[in-house]
Amino acid sequence: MLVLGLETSCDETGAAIVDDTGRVLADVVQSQVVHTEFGGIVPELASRDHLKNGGPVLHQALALANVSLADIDGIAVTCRPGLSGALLVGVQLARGLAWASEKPVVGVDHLVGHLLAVFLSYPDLAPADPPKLPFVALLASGGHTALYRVDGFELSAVRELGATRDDAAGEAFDKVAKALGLGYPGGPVIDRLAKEGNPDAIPLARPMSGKHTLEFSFSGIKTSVARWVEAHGRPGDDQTLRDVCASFQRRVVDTLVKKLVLAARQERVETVVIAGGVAANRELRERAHAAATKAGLRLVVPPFRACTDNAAMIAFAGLTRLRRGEDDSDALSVSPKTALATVTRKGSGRRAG
Amino acid sequence: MRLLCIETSSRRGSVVLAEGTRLVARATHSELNAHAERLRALLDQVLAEAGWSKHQLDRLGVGMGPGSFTGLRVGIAFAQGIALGLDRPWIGAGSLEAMAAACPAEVGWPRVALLDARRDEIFAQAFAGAGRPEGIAEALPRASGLASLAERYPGAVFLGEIGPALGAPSVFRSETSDLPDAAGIAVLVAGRDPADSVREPLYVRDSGATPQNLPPSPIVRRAG
Ligand SMILES: Nc1ncnc2c1ncn2[C@@H]1O[C@H](COP(=O)(O)OP(=O)(O)OP(=O)(O)O)[C@@H](O)[C@H]1O
Ligand SMILES: [Mg+2]
Repeated sequence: MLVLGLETSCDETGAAIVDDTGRVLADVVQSQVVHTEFGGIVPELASRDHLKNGGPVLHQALALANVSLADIDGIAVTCRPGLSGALLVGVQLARGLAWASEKPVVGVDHLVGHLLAVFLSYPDLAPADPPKLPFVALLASGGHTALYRVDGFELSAVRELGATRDDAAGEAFDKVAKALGLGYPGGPVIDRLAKEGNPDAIPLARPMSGKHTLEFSFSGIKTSVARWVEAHGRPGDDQTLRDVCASFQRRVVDTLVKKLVLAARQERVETVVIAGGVAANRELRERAHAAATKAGLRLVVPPFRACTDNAAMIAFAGLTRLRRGEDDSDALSVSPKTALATVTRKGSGRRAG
Repeated sequence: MRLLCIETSSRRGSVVLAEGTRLVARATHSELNAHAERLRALLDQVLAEAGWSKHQLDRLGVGMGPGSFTGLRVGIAFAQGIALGLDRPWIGAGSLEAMAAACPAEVGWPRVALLDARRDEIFAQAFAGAGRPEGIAEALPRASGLASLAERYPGAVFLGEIGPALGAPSVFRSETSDLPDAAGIAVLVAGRDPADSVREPLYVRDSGATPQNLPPSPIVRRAG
């Protein structure tokens, strides 16, 4: 079975072809650059770019996979969470395609896509040993940061254990980068600069290091960096800039890793997974690996390209329902919110923990 | 040539089937913000009415605006998906142009198409004999736009349901010229060379975002 995946929820336009074992035949991602000068994503520009690139990206995926539309058995498209106008472009493309080619189409929750990205395999990479169910996953991206228990491949088999009460981890990276004048997105730049910085050089707030809660808070450390910039100005020399980045990143990574291990203990699972754009972070990958080993857990990390937004993970996440013969043709609506049940109330403030 | 045309730039969504410039079936809806949900059912409806199969279609036509940004994209992305699925070309045409093209021959020229653009503005575009556009589609202030158009295009016939409310001197009203309609798109697209297709939506207005002008850091500047 071959699934065509489409992704337009945020600022990457993606199309991919994936088979029912998770093998990626083609994975095309076009990242939007139009937002750079605005220091954040401009929804209207995102929608415009998705429309411009959606068709070409789709053609390219089919061509790269060397398949024709006739070979495709079903279509999976991100329908939530994300920017409504952006989601609509992908959903309408998918709808038109499904109607014309008389194929089933299912809507996919983008977060489930991120959580299952770890099952993808790529022809140019060494075969990965996929995680065994159940596992605990840390999803840290530009819009979301939460821990989940994953018991299966469906929405109903994924349970949130705790999430951020304010900013997402990636959002904190992006906002700190903006405060430092590093442009958007901030994660990759900070990651690069932090490598040669001293993580103990700059005193910054610790992001909710409360020992027993599985909730996160990143607005404190973001503000802490902003205050430092107010007091000292933007770093005038390269080493100070590297030190600020390293100090910020160390604290964020520390929290993420601690809570991941804590969640795994609470849920008594043997496997942990990290996912989402922030999972591309080198320090997070290294420290999560070390902490997991120490705790007797197996850590599985998706390849870099599977961490940030892509359509291959959407195709894979749609597979289960398509295989069962389900079809959302008559009920495919977009939503800015995830369909996963949440346990953390956003903005509920700092609690003792 | 069998055409399927879609128009979603205004509050009314419409779908038509046409044989050349002859209209064969037309279906519309006016449910608020529901183009995405309603389009597919409209398609099935016109095909059933005409007794055509989707595989008999030769080309797709779609209205490219100006109009509601989101509404436009809903129709255009859908048409693109269908075109890809059926392996047929899609051809874009201006939505105001479609209003001018939907009038009966006895309506004189120049014709000036008017459309509510919200935010106290109107979209307008003038067309001379045989539908040749006189300048591009523009957004004008609601209060003064009509006066300036009347001055620029003396003796023009104004089109659009908002014509009377704006105090247009001479207004022609009809179902398919009151708002952009797939019927007008079909007239335009039937004879159009695919190479002359409008490929990008006619947004007319920009996104409204303002650049931040942050000075890049020394390191980033060097790396870039
Ligand atoms: N190496 C890295 N280190 C830290 N953060 C990173 C790195 N690479 C990317 N990021 C961050 O990941 C985020 C993008 O990830 P992703 O594409 O998964 O998120 P998104 O699609 O914006 O949000 P969501 O998936 O929640 O809708 C950005 O915030 C970016 O700064
Ligand atoms: Mg994402």
